Amino acid sequence: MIPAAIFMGTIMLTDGTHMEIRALEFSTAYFHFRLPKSVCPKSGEDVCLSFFSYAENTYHDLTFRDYRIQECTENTNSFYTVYRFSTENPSYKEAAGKLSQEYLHYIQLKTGEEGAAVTKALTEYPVDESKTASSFAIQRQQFMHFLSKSFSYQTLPQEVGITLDQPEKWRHYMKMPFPEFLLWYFTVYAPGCSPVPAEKITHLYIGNSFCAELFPSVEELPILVEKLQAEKKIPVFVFSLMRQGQRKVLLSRIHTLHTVISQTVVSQKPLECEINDLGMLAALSNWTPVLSDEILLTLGIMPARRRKDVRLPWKHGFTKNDAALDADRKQAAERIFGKTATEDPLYRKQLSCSWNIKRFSYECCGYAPSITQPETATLYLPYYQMNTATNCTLYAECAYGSRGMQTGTEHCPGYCQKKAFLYPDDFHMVGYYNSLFGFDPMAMQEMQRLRDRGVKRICFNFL
Amino acid sequence: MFITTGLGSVDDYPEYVQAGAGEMFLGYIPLQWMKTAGTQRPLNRREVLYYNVQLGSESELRILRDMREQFRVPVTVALNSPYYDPGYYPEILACMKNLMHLGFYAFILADPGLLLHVKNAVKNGFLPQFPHKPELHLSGEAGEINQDMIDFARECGIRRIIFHRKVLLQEMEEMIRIDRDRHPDAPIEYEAFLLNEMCHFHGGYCNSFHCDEFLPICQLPYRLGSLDEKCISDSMPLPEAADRDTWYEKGDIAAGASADEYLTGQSGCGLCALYRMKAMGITHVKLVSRGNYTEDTLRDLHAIRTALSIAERSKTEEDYRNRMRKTLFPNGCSRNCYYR
Repeated sequence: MIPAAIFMGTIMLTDGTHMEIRALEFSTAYFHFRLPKSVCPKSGEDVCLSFFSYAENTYHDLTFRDYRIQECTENTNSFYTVYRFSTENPSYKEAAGKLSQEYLHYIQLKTGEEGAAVTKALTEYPVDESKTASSFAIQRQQFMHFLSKSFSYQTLPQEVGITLDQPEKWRHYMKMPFPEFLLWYFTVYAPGCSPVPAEKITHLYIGNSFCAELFPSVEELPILVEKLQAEKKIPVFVFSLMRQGQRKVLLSRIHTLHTVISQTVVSQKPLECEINDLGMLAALSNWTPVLSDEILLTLGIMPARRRKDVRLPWKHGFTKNDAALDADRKQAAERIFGKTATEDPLYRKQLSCSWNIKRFSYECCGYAPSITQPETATLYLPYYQMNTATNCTLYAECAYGSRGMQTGTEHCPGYCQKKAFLYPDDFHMVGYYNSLFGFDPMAMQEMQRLRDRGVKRICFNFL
Repeated sequence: MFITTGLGSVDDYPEYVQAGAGEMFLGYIPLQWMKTAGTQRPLNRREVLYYNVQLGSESELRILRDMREQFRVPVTVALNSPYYDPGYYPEILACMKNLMHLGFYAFILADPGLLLHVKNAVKNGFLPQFPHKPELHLSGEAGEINQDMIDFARECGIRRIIFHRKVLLQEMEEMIRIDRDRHPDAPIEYEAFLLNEMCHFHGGYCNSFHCDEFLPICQLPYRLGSLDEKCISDSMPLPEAADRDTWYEKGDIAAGASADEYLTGQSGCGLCALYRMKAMGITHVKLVSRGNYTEDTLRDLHAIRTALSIAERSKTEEDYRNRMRKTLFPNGCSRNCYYR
């Protein structure tokens, strides 16, 4: 039986209604379809057949009435009747011939080749999967080489943040004056990009969206908070996914944070917290500091799922690499993938009224996402999350020799401080802790476009 | 405990029923959706054109309905993309309404925005409540990894929670216990993955393509490497003994089948967890099979039924695992464990 999606149609029945049908098998002279016993096709009426064209990435419709339908009694059973639809219509012949060629080509590829070879044959896939750098530091330099061409702090919006999403980052911050820290930060994580002047960095995003293990300790928090206050940097504390087994830890963490802030900070500004789990939002929804706006909640990028894949430039329908068509491709991506539930008024009402969300986080991810209220948006760049495992893949690989052998990790030794999953250089992706990340080489241009649409805050999430 | 099986073709329904499937789930994409949204905006988690993973057309649905009338095994429809363009919510609701008119009332949903719209559509009567209310299941793709998500799901009218294969057993157990304690008079169903297609990442946080022309991103070639050149020669400490407890480390499992033999659970298996799942209150176990060969699915169904029967007769979890492995995997299992 051929896949339904490549050859379907609608046919009139004897009761005057139309029914969607699928082809079971076909040639350039006929196709078979079936109907439930309770209905019969009506011959002599227009039939509309839809043929999928891979080359054009669209359906071609044919409407005609020069055909014959005969019952195929040998294939029929008590539930359905199979019919043979025969025609000499030349347009049908042509469409069926093309479809047959494309489908056979696909089957030949899949049965004869593997992975990258199939992709190369079907798209303009330029990836050389044999080239992978010896460490992520080298890949990082390669990635930043793209970014540095368009990197200019003068194009940044009024609020600029950086992520301190790993212990090494916040511990360096804790022991260095901010300008010196920033120089170190850019030298290590954004080599080749001129460091943003210290006074332009307004926010520090502390904590990790993906892994609950990566958050400052109870002892580190007061030191961090005091330093942030002294240097007049606004903290945004980031909370990860909340597995049931981590629920107590994460809820207690935000409570502790609130206590530390209340005891340490003189300023009356609300404490910003970014939450990456809808369940955690629900759990906090009746907490007084949230209801009274002492704590200002941001919806993180994890619950705001959207299409993100480093292979988007080669996705069929997006395969042109010509610079002149690049803008069209990005616009197509924005149109197709740009909007998700976060832009739905009803869902936003749930988020803001029931769960007290005041801000929303987005990522530059190969295209600019649709942003309903840009003044309340934070835009992360230049990395974006593609996949995340709730149990650490890196831990599984390091501890058990296989990324699939995942367990809960109660005594994590911090493999992510030294190890990562490396992918072929051309992919521009990396496996860090429990996630896969893509790098967007056009992130600065997308950021400028969104800044012009009203986004006032960005956050560099250098890995 | 019911076995819920993926259905890629109407022709498989009678055979799967006879092999012990207690429920089936399928994907249906109207032709109009294929023309306007295509697989760029997939209606469910199967985003391919060139595989028989969707049921097909309305004619197939009607044939299936007639089969269901005779065999009485229920069918659910997957509308479980984790995200849709909100502009398509009205079309999805219209599709659900049409499916309900055709006699299909149970749906698997994952997009939280869609959940709210469905809740509203039931309330305002757009989705009919007679002769059946829509029965809503929360997909594993929704990210239901804590008790608070289950609470939210209940508020939206969800009648079944499908735990993703990445949810730890002890966490599943805790969430079920808490939910039952809170709602003793309003029980819901709980479903867990049991066989096939283990992915390294959580489907609810997987934003990458699963299309004809690309490998799933989790299958792209990679290697474990170092963050920087200094770390390349560093060794890492192994975890403490308590963290290394895996069921197959007891030394009694040999290597699995050769490449030419079919081995149940080759691509992902939770059979060792079945006894515990029964005990904790899982009502449905999922056999991922849309797009698989019919014969393989029949073998899987047989294996699950055998395992269920062993679980019924076993006194302890260890007793169950020993007997199940001896019966189903005398030459060794795949070691591709969902649950560790």
